Amino acid sequence: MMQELDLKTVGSRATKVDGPAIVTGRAQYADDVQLPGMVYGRLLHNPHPHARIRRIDTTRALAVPGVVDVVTGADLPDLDLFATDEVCYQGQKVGVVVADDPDVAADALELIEVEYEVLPAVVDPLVALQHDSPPVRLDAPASEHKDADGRVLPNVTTHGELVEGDVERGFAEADVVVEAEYNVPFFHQNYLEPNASTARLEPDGRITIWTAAQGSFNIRDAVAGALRLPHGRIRVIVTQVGGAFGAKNGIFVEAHAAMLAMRLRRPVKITMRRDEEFLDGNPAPGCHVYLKTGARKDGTLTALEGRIVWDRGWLGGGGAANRLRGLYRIPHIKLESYGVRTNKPRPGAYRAPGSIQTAFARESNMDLLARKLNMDPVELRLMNAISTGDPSLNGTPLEKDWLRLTIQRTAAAAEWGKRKLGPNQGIGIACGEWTNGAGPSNAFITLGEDGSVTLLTGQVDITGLHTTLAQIVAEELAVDLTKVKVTLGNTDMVPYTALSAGSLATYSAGTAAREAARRARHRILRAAAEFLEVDADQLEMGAGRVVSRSDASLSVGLAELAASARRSSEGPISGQWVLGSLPTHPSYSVHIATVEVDPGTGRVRLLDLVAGQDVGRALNPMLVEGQIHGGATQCLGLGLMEGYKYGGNEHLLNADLVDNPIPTAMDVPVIRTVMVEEPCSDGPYGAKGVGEPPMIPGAAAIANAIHDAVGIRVTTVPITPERVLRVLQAGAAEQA
Amino acid sequence: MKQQIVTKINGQQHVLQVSPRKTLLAMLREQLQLTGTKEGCGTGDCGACTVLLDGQPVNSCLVLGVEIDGREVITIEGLDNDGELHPVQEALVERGGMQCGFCTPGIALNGAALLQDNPDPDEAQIRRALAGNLCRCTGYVKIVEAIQEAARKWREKSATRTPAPEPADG
Ligand code: FES
Ligand code: FES
Repeated sequence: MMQELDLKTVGSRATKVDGPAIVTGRAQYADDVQLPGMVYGRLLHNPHPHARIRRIDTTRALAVPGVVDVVTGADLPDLDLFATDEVCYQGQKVGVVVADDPDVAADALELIEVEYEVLPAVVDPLVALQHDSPPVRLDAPASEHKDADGRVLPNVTTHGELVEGDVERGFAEADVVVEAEYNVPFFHQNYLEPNASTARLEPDGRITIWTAAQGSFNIRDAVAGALRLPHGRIRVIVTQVGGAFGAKNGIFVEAHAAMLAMRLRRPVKITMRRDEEFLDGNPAPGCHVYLKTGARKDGTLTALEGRIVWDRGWLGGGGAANRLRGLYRIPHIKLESYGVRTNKPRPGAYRAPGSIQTAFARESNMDLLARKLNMDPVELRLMNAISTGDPSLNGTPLEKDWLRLTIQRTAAAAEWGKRKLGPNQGIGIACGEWTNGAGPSNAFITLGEDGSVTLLTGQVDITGLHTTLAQIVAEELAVDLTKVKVTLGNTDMVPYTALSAGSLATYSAGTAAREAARRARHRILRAAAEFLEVDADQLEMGAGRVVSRSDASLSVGLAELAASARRSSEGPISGQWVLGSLPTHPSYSVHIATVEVDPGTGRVRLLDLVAGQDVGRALNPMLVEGQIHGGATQCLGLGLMEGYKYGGNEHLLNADLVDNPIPTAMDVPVIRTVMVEEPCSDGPYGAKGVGEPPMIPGAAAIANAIHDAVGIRVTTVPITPERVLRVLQAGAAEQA
Repeated sequence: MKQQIVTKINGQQHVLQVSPRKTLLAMLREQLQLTGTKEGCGTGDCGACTVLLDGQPVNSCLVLGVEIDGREVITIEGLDNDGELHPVQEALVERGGMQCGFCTPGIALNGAALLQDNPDPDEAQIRRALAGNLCRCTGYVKIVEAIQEAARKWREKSATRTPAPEPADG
């Protein structure tokens, strides 16, 4: 049962505090920053998946009227902002032109002559995994990884194994075993706002950077690292953020703009185009998964064995396998993971990184298993789901039966097992897991002399955070929501604040805001006690006033109190809280998709999506629903239409929104949300992070629904009409 | 070589010197500082740059600045009526039809144009009208709800007060 808290503003469907600015076009996004004397940079990107740079000649570009500067790696011998020798992915930065007009800069780019020697490239992670693969980088340190025959694997950067129990015994105990291979390509966050950064050299020699990012401090630190400057030289101001989804955790063009601003002593803006976002952004990594699951006749899972090969782009890196187990009790496990380099951009975070890809494989396998066992997929999941007291993925025991409740309530809302489906229609379920992060965060509250309250925080608002923070402050101080103003502090104004990522922002900054407000509240009560000459514990707050409990005529308004506090013994009224960290809890999402497949064209139409989520407490149900709708839509995008496509010569074929489409209003059905509100003990008012979980299970739910509809299993996303037709025509109802 | 054009933007007459290669989008943003119109792709695929040209929604990244000579443009900065939000704007805020808000100016203008043509659109008509406006954040659910709500407000308004407010004169 949900704990009953007497909440007024928290839990309400408050509208976004920045709504009026957004809807009138006044909100200032990164590219909206305009400074006097500003010049524009345009980047030159290498067109080959892998090549050596033989020669660069910038003479003709420099001669173009209006061009202010042309910079390549040769001009910056101590920095790694541009490739100078080897280029390892299509889109890698080679140089930049700065001009007083962006179009002039674009023209001049064409006049830079670069001579390349094309080298062999590899974009398929399974090819890159082999000993005889072309090396992705000639200059990479020698690989320590070898295959079973002792041959060096040149592109492997990590290898890990997770073993629990005895997997062979587990499969010996199994009555039913299913196995399959799954593929997920690179896929792009496609925030609607392309990256843009503006930098200015200040009179004191410091540099100010305006950019749209998920955290100002990470940008500051990354720029300082890239330019080899002390952190204190850089101030980062985060603008309104036009969508980020994990991508804007790191730097894109910030360091380039800052370097140019120092060089030219003029403000410089660099704005990326959409094709640059695809080619030189940090999309989600792809992977190839082999997964084998075993169960007893009654459905009890006994064993899981798998291998995941993470496609980590040109710089390589790791990737865990434990999410393949995810949210089920399985005694015997053997999971292997590889991180390999490919000639692609370096992938970054995308909403529930790692969970999306692994959930597609895991939840597809669960469906195959249910079919083979002739068991209801909901039943199979309920039976094996981790429950109260079981260790969650990060090891801490589950405080409540969140997962099973979410499965049950979502299934009930979707009328699972009761729906009448037409021909070629099917229904499928899948589950997802995410554990949000926590801290550091902060909140600084000041009571104004007009009775207004300001909240300063370093936590960037990417999903409505500041609205929720305002609600929390209004709740704790018993003032009207309109009295609370939230300001984002830049790197000079507040202590280090974590990225708004990993679903931690509301969890962390919400806690900081609540604690800061409680301190301000105590301070207000003390000031009122001094003012009214009564004991503080005789006083209560309500409707912007402090009132005596015993004598209602004894009261003072917050405005008057703030004014008088100037002269009080403790001075002006404020309250602050700096948060280190908090214990966290997993949260679960369950999607149930209903589809109709056209066997003639292979087209899949999503008829209905029920998206359930274990949210702890919805601090603002309207915003939480919005997160669920948006996450589910992005996942259906991956399931049906999105993803990088490579052609001959290892070139990217679809660096635009037509060939790499995202869902439009025509593609998305009405999404019904189910919010399971069973508070956790550590988040603010019991809330859990909500941004990531809705992104996770949708693609698998769709694949499972397609299987239900037409009896075929598609194991590669996106599930395009061509793929459906191919499997249909092959008559290959794998494992069905 | 710049070209002189005479145009009306958000109800105001402008005489502008425009370079013939500048898009209407670039002209609005760079020259007139009307940065409410957004660039999401620059290739006509996202709708973030939607403005009303003689009352009709267009992707301003596909129109040249010089093409608006003698014509009238409404941008998001001109959709409200002297500070009073257009019903579509109001409903988008009230119904949570925005998250990051980058698509919102384009959606608000397209929604306003839809209601001008069809004050009582059904859900399918709304979705069709918005098919060219990508939104990555909301899944469109609350945007569609907002336009439905705005249509109700719009009809109430036009019942009590004529003529209808901006955007059209053509
Ligand atoms: S910017 Fe014009 S349609 Fe995308
Ligand atoms: S609200 Fe972010 S793109 Fe629509």
